[in-house]
Amino acid sequence: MSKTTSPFKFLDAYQQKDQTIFFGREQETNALYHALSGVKHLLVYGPSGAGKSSLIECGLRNQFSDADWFALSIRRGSNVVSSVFARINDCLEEKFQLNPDSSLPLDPDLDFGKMIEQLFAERYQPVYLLFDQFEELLLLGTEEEKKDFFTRLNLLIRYRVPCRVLLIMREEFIGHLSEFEVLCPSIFQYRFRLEKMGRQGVKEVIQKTLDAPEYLPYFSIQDSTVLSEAILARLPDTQREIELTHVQVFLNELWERAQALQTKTNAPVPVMHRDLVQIDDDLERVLSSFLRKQLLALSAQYKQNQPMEVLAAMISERHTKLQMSEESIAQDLQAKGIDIPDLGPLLRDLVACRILRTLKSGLNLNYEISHDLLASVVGQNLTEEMKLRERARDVYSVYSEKKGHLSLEDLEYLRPYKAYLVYPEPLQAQIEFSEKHWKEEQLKQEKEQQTRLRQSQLQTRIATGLALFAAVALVFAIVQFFQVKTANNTISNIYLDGKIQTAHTLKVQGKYQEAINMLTDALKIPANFSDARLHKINTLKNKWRQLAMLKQTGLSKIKLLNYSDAIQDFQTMYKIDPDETINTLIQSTKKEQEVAFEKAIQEGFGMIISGRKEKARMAYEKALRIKPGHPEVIEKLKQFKDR
Amino acid sequence: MANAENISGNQNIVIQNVQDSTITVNVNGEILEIERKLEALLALMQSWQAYAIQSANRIYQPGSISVANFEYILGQTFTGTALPAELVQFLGGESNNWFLSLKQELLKMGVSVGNRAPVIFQYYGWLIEAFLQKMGTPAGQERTLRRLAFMAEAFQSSLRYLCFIQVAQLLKNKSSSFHPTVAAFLQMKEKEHRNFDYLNLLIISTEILDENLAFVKEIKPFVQELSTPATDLYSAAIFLDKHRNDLIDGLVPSEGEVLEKLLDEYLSALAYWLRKLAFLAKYRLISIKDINLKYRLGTSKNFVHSYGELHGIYTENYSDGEDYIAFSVENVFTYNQSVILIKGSNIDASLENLEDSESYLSLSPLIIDQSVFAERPTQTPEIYYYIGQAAAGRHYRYAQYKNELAYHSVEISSNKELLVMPQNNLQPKLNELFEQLEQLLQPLKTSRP
Repeated sequence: MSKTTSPFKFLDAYQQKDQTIFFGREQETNALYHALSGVKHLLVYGPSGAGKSSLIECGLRNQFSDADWFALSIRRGSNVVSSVFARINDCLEEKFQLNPDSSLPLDPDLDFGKMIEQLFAERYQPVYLLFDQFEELLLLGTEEEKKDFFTRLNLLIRYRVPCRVLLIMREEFIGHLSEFEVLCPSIFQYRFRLEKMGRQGVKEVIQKTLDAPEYLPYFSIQDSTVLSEAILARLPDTQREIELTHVQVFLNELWERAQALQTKTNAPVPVMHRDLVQIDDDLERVLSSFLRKQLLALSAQYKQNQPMEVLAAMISERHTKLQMSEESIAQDLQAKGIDIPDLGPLLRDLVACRILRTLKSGLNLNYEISHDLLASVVGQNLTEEMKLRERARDVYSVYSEKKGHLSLEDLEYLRPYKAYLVYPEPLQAQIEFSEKHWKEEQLKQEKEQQTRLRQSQLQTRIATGLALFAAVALVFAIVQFFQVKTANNTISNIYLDGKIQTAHTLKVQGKYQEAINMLTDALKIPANFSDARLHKINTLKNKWRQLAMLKQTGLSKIKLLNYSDAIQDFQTMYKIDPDETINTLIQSTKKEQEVAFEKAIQEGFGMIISGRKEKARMAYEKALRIKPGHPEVIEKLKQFKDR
Repeated sequence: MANAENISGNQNIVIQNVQDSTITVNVNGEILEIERKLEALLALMQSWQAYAIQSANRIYQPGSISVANFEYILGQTFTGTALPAELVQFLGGESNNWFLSLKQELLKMGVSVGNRAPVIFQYYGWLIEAFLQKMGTPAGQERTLRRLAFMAEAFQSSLRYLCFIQVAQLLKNKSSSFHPTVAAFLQMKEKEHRNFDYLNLLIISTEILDENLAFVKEIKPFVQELSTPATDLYSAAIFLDKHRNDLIDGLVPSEGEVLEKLLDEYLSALAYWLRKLAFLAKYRLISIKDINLKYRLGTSKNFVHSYGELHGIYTENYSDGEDYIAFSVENVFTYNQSVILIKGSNIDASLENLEDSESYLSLSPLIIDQSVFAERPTQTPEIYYYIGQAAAGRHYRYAQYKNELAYHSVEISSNKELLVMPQNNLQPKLNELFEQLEQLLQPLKTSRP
């Protein structure tokens, strides 16, 4: 650490060597050590910014002698199972043969346990597998990958080698683990929750940090008590729990201010004092402000939004950080139609200003946003265009799952998103296929219409001939008059038929109002239509008005999570005038109801696991709104009431 | 070599030099020469009304000196710091393959053993193999004081293990009072255990234990050889112990030729010592986590023992998710929540023989498995051993079996201790252990050393 750069940890986790400056977590360190004692795997979870990585890498690590600890930190990469094999094999100096493409062993019987046994035989140190950011697997992994990992993990747990596994993840995602309990039944049995630090704890941490002898060469302090109080005062009074990351970033900011003053005063080291804290400082928004400041500094070198585009490419749809290579970032940007020729230098500049960090994965160099909290801030600061692109990504993923050709309504719905994000190749192919289909349909209809029109024109010509003939033969004038009148009525009727046909097409596409308008306009032409025809058209218009109304009501009910009533409305629509679009609407709403219900249940489950009973109750109430009368949910809510 | 130690306390006798037939002592500054006989020494003590005898840096009360440990006490004074000549023959060779020398001894014990170090070490059991493994770690292979500390602790842990076996039998026999040396062990105060004279405890406990009742019969001849000055084992033990003490006291240089030589010599002495202990391969240490009775009308009584193996290589590599294995024994049960030593190197065969109460020995509460006292479910044993009582209050203290030797006055933050108190709020199951300790150590309350 150079004396001209800030000495604080900033967005980095504390490591083993930081023991003397790791304050305020003694109790949690002991508790974690005891939670790990006598068990083979432990789920360590907590909110982002609570300091899970620091507690393990520094707190827990220093509870073990280096003769009793050989830790392998493993991130998912492109496939978590491959990453485990590659990581262990790397430590074994490539003793085992792995497939160069998949990093899976060539010997199909080779599992984690046997490789770890070999590792222990060489190093004699118990092995600790640390799966940091484990939620990456749950959010980004394929179903096959997840199943493979949990099956192998269960085998490893049962394999009696000196190895312990720590799954470290954000608590909001632990609900996702429940579906893998069947593959690894003890996954929830051994767990440890780390909470954010309270105000008093944070105050002590700040004070001890400011007073730590290790920082003496970097700054002097006037009054650590006063300064720590001034820092804490930059938080709302009601905020009980605080992200230590914010504090670290803020300390860094204060140090930079002190350093700027130092040049004016010629002091030997920057002086930290309470006046450095400004009235408009906000501890909660310190990361946001840091990001803005850094992006502003980069704006001189790079086109507007380019750095932000890169950062947007490096977060997941849940705004968690992603580990990516330069190549994969370039591919992502290319898919969005964004061209950044100097991506390499930009990435390095983002690393230099500590927004990104580099990670080595074998021979590859990967980048990721320095902290999940910063990734979340990036997510909050996306431009409207980026948000629409995100929305387009979600929409595309839903439509990619659809089988067969897309309806005209679907095509219409997708079209505006193309301006923000190009279609992925499979979807593009599906759209082209659907458009071709509908074009052919349209041509077919037009051909039929033209045939009918030609017939009517022929009839008109015959009628005209007859009329001329009648003029010559006056005697037959009256007869001729009636013949012409009949022909005109036929033309009008054919015209009306065409309009009804088009209106039907619009109705089948779900464009009820347009279909009704078309029928209304068709009746405006001067013609004497029969009462039966007029009645039929009015009946159609009434039916379609009902459909439009029911659809609108149903969609409003969905917004209120009242899926069951919405489905009933759509089913009524089907009874009134069935078509495939209505059927699809019913099926997709049912699916959406299932997804929303499952999500609420998982959220509730996750909250129970993490001890947040009130939030769990709210999640289950939400589930009950989605599926009223669901017996298991009612039973769960009853348990809350009983407690 | 003359003992350069000063007299500590009044009326103490300091042994300064030992010759073939005489002992030179310093009594309150007066140099005397007496016959090299126990009776002569005791008579001198009586005539001077001495409270204790000091040999090297250790103090012995009159009641704790006997024929058994007399030569050992003298040996501490006259043995030098260099590897005894008798053991030099074992010096040299590839230090990385030193463990192969243990293999031959193990084969003599009738166990099948391969060439890989972990397979060889596992026959000594967790308490010893933990340090043999540490010697193989990257930190243990560096030629530093740390390596010496691992070797010193491998020696010390093996001594402790033997002492636990012997003292456990004394506790089992429920004597009304304890020998002063045994009592001193049971009443060790904080930090005393690091320097505690386990060699002396082994000699004494073996002496007072009825030979016919001894569980590990091989210990008696081992101790006889150990306490005979003419033997290599005696020289090796004194050498290993002395340098361990020097290391603790900061008398070993942290680098240079002296350290280099000492590392090689210490390894040779340790290898020799471990070869002599190969008989431990004939016994297995296991932790009984729980015993459940399975009994229904018309069936026989079956006691399902859930046990964890306390040695490196397991009978089966795969378990049901935890390292404890269930084993059912008809009509017979052993000690619950205890660490027991069983005869035989094949656990399954030994467990079949549990109806013979002489086939196993409980080493608890001297060795305990903390996992069996946990409130939450656990999967692997966590072994701790007894290190005495707290200075203040009725607290019993245990150390984790992997704890490393602190030297040069530097404490090791990763070393773990466990306190067993009358009320253990975090682990209420330890309350029962406390009661067991109180009952077993009841005689100490009436007979203080």
